[in-house]
Amino acid sequence: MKRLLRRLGIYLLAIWAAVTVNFFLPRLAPGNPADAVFFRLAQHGAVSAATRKALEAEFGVDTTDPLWLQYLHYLNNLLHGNLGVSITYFPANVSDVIAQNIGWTLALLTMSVVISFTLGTLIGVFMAWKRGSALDTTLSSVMTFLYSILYPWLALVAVYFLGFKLGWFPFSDGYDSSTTTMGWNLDFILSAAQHAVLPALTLVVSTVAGWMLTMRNSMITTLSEDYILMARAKGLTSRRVMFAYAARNALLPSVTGFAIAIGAVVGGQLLVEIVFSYPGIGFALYQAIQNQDYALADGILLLVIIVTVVMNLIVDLLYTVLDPRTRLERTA
Amino acid sequence: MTGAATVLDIRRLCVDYGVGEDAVHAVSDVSLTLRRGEILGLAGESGSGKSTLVFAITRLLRPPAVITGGEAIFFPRDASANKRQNGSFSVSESSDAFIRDDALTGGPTDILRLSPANLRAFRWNELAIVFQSAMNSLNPIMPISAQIMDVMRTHRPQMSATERKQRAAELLRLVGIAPDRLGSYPHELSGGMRQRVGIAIALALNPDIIIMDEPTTALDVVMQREILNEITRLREQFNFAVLFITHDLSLLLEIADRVAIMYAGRIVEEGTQRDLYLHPRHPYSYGLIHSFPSLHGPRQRAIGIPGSPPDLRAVPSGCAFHPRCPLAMPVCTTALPQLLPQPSAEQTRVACHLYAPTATGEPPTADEMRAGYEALAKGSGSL
Ligand SMILES: Nc1ncnc2c1ncn2[C@@H]1O[C@H](COP(=O)(O)OP(=O)(O)O)[C@@H](O)[C@H]1O
Ligand SMILES: [Mg+2]
Repeated sequence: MKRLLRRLGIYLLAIWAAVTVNFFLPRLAPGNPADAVFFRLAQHGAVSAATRKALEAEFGVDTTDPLWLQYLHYLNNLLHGNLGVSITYFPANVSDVIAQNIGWTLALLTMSVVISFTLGTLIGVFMAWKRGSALDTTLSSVMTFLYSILYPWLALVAVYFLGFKLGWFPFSDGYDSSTTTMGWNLDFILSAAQHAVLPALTLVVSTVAGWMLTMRNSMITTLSEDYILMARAKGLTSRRVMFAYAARNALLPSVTGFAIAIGAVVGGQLLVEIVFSYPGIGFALYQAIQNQDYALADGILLLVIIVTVVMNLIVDLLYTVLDPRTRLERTA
Repeated sequence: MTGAATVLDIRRLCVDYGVGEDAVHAVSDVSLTLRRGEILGLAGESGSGKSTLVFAITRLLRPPAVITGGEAIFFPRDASANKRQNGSFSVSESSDAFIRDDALTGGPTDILRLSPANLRAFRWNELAIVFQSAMNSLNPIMPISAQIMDVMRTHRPQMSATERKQRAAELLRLVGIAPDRLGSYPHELSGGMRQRVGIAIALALNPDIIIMDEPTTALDVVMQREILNEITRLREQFNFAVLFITHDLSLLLEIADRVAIMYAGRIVEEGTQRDLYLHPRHPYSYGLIHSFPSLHGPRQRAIGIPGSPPDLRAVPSGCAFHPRCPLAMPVCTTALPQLLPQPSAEQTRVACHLYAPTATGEPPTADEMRAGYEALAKGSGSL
């Protein structure tokens, strides 16, 4: 419990640091970003005085407030979910844009991570169990190859062959907006699922190898432990030895590996969204950058950091559940 | 214990690590007999092949180990004796009625040739193991209750969850642990308690044989003593046979009925505890017994066996002990001594040219062996 509280403190600190950097960066940037944004906004039509004021506050220009007051304003705005106005989706607020996109991202991310981790881990368990067999050696080389492939490259290949050439799956957008409407109806869900196939496939194929190799190695180490020998000596079924004794222990390094890989996983997700024009925050970020939409880009980056931190927290909690040694010692 | 029926007969067992020219002969031509209800001690310096022997007869060897010859015959309790046993058990031990359902009811069986299904049924039902380090042999992320009960779930599917739980609590009580520790994880227990849990798990199905591979090596002296007492007490209560393995001969001499001494993968001497203690015949046995200060007998200075055990990749020719032996003769460097019965003691066998029927002189006396070792020590000291 104490360990968890300490971790929680570290995570809060990380978020605070990210928020603070986010506050200072535009103020350190040369030139006047507020002017640039104001100019772009003006192209969309009239800009109210209030918007102008908000912009100036955001970038800390043309204001007589001292820095600390600006900082407090900024924190206050953040706490109220007030992230400014998006240029790209003008006049929508950044928070509204994010709210619209985050669902897509989380759905795709969760789906691909769960599939990839489960599949990779299971294959790794079997490979280690049948270590040295034809299955193990073949899979090892295939997976090492897959492991070295980059997401975007694989995504492009998938778009080209499965989407463009064969036309099996759609390769852009999250659903077909011409024939379905968003909501809890079957047409929409089917369309969304169909659109998710290629991005999810890309993410799964390019990450499954990593989980598999991690699990295989950690499983091989675990299999040489004395408690595996004892489990076999007890005459337990191989299934029980393999899962309850070996895999369950070998999973622990995999979970730690997962925590380390979270940054890469989230990064891959953003890239894949861009390649597939998937309506998540990755794609929105891409558009924000193209349109010099500081407010939106800022908001999304903050969100990405928060998502990463929350995932870390989940992994931490999971580890505590999986490994009794990290829980507080029970007293006699 | 003399005259008791044999429960395990190891015959000319050979185990190699690797194959071909480079194979390491970790166990060579070992024959040992374990009788019902006795404690047979197996002593030898570390690296002499004791654990390899255990893993061979329990079919737990992993590559590159290969069994290159021999048998390990298990003699099941015969049907009539079995009934009698069961009857007497159910009077005193209520839940023991569950414990024995005969996995192997046929005649003697070679463990090394059991089919996978029969092997699984044989394991723990008839032969259980207590490993050296209970820290490493208990699953660190499973509560000990689960590690006790999964044996029953596998081998006694007719037991209900409540019965399993009762039995697990009873087993803990047997080894002196409060049953409220059932939910504990291994890391929450002390070293001694973990070893007791190991023993409790071994007792779970009331096996005929329990093999203990250095069960007290990782423990401090006080804890060692407690565990030894525990083992002796439980053996009297349940009458299982023990193959007790250790590098500490002094320990064996306290609890074993018979003792075998292993050197470089071979048995060099075997005899009753008393005979071996009073009259060690092999110079190696003598050296082992007197390499620690005697606690009981007359005060004598401890002697040391010079040198170190051979690397099994390059075992000396003839008798493997000859480079360290104070009484080595020319024949010892060329001919392998056979393990032969001794006319002077009924149950003793020795593999040493000094005792061969063809030996010219009288066998050495204890004083001669001591003098030999002291001379060796002086010789090396002046170098
Ligand atoms: N995995 C292995 N590969 C090769 N040789 C081994 C292996 N394990 C043990 N040995 C050899 O077998 C010998 C006996 O080892 P072991 O049975 O563990 O001895 P003990 O239990 O008496 O200390 C060792 O001296 C070593 O040379
Ligand atoms: Mg050993």
